[in-house]
Amino acid sequence: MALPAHIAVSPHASTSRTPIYAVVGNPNCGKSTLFNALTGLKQKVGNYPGVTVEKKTGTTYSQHGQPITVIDLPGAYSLAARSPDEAVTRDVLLGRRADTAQPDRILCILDATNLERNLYLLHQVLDLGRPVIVVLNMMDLAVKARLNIRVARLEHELGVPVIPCEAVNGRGIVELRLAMSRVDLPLARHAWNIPAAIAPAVADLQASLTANDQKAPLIARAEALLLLTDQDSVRVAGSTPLSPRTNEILQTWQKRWAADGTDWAGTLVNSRYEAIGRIATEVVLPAGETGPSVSDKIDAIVTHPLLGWLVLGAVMTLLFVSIFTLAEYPMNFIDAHVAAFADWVKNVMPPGDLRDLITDGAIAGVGGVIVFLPQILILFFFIGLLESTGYMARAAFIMDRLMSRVGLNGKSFIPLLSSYACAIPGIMATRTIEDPKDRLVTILVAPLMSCSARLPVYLLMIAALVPGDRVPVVTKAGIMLLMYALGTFGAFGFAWLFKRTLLKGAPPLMIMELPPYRLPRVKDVALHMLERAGIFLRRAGTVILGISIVLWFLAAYPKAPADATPTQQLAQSFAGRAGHLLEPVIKPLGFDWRIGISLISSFAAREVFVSSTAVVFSVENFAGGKNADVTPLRTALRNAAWPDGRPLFTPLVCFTLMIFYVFAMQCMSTIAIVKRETNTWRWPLFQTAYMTGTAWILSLIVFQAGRAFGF
Amino acid sequence: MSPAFQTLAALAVVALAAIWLTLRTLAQRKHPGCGSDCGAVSPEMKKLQARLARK
Repeated sequence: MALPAHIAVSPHASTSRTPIYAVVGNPNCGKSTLFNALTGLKQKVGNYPGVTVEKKTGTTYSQHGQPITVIDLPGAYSLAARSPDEAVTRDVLLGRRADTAQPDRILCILDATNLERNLYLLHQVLDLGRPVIVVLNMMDLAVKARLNIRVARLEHELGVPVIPCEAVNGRGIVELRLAMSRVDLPLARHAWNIPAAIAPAVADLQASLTANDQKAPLIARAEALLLLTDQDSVRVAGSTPLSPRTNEILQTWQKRWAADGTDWAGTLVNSRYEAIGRIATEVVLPAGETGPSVSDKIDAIVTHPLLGWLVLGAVMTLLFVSIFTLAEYPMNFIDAHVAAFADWVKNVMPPGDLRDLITDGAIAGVGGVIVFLPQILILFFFIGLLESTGYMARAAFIMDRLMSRVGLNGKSFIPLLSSYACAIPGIMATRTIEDPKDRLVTILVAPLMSCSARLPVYLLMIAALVPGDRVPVVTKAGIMLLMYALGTFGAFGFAWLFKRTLLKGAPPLMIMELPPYRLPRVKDVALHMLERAGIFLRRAGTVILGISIVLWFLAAYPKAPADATPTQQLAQSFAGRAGHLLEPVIKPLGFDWRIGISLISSFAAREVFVSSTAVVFSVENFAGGKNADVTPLRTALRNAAWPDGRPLFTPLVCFTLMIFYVFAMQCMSTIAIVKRETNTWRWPLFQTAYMTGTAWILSLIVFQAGRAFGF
Repeated sequence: MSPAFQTLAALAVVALAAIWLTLRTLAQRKHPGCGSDCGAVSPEMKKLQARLARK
């Protein structure tokens, strides 16, 4: 098959300098997937100096093996920047950043399913007068949506190469690479009539930008258009400011327009939209009238203000019921084998510290955590299924209504959703929120979403709280759902409070897109699940193993006299002394000094609570070199008692502990990332104080009220 | 394996674990973040990277 003209082999393929391509596009248009497909592992990731915006550069190769530098710029809806990310994109394209070379050529990625919206950025990019290659991504979804996109017509209208592509499947990448290899890329046939009344202002500013800011004429024209329509309010570190003369001219025109009483800036934007509308009408042929699609019919139920919540509740309940029903047997299997392995070590090794370290430290600590592997696998399998069908976006939609009511930005949803896996990527994802106050509120509440590290703690407590087959599985699922709901609504509650006190701001704008429903790709879901298993096991085999070993030492040393009981040994150990120091603070919550040891150690990471509890109760059970059989952790907890014989882990104490972990800031890594993102210690310290304070107060209320009611 | 030898070996293991955890914490201060521990990178991207790496 003959290649189209724009990607045909170029006779002049060698250049003396590595060309630089910038990849630009709207958020979620598949830009990063395309960047990865082009550059593979040849990527450098860093930050733009002075701003927390990620800088990704990579290398791809032309058809003749020459290197081509590719810069992945942050997603933007237009060059009129509203956030630091968008400001970086604008500055790099306009050559305002001394730390980044102005790109020679631009790859503009368009989401084929939302062509008209994506054309606004492309239209501004074409103004820059640089060679542009347009990539029409997600063509497969456009076909499924029955959109008829006339690629050749778009190419003709714009005068630049247009490559249809499916970055996620690697389709179109070869054609794109060939187009990028061309030396003689054409400039756009960019017909856009600027209103005559505005032309003098554009000309004035263009002349000044060329003379005083050393801009190339076409870039100067594009910047002039941008300055006249945008207040240029978002400036970031590293951005070269305008010369005083250009600023003066800009202000003169703005004052003149203000005095005139005509919204010329709006007129300029409207004329651009008219030009875009004309192109879209030519290029996208609408699908025939077919009435509401299946997707629309499903959405009418799952995004309904009332039914939507019922569906979400039912889906989450089903998910948690599945976790408890399906995981019971594999968990018991792992539990029994961990205990049997520890027994075997105890039998083959003579008594001594090394044997105790292996059984009570390493095996108890790691085994206590890996027993929850089946439940975690099942959870991520179902979450993967929900994500791949497109239901998660609908859940986001109904949550977004609530979020906007409490004052959270629509863009806060993705960071908060990411925080269900781990607060760290969630907090990093807040970089897309343009309003600094909205961003800070999201950072402050993100760690309240129940992350996967809390899961083993909840599961252990539920196992101790409602043992075995004595209660229906729905009760267990209900408790789990309650914990997730408490974290989520707690986050919303605090966001509401912060938006009305510390971080007052205007009501946020809602932004939401609903992708089409898809059949889940089971292979991808399974891969995701296996990846989670790998991460969980890697953590168990590294950090948790290391902490368990150190904690064993702290719980076993200094040694008590030979006739001391295991509890006396633990009490006078380093860990025991730390636990005793904490006990006055936690005793009103129903926790003793042994739970205190686990609370202190789990500050490293929440799931360490489980391994620490395993180590503490193993040391207590087996200190002194006895050859007793090893008891599984869940049983050990049920047997644990206060000195007067009362059970320690009563249902009320287990429930209180779960409440504590919902709200407490038990994660050093999160504190470090909040410090980095806010560039001050003030906010992470405030966050730790308000979260842990809330955890303590709520735990106190729950425990004392529960006791008063006779639980 | 005498109890004295076991004590020495156990303390050596504890010291190694403590040193490793300290070094890890210091390294994280230089490059804070979840590394690859939180699973934030999508499987789709990892799959793509793996395929490209094989090529």
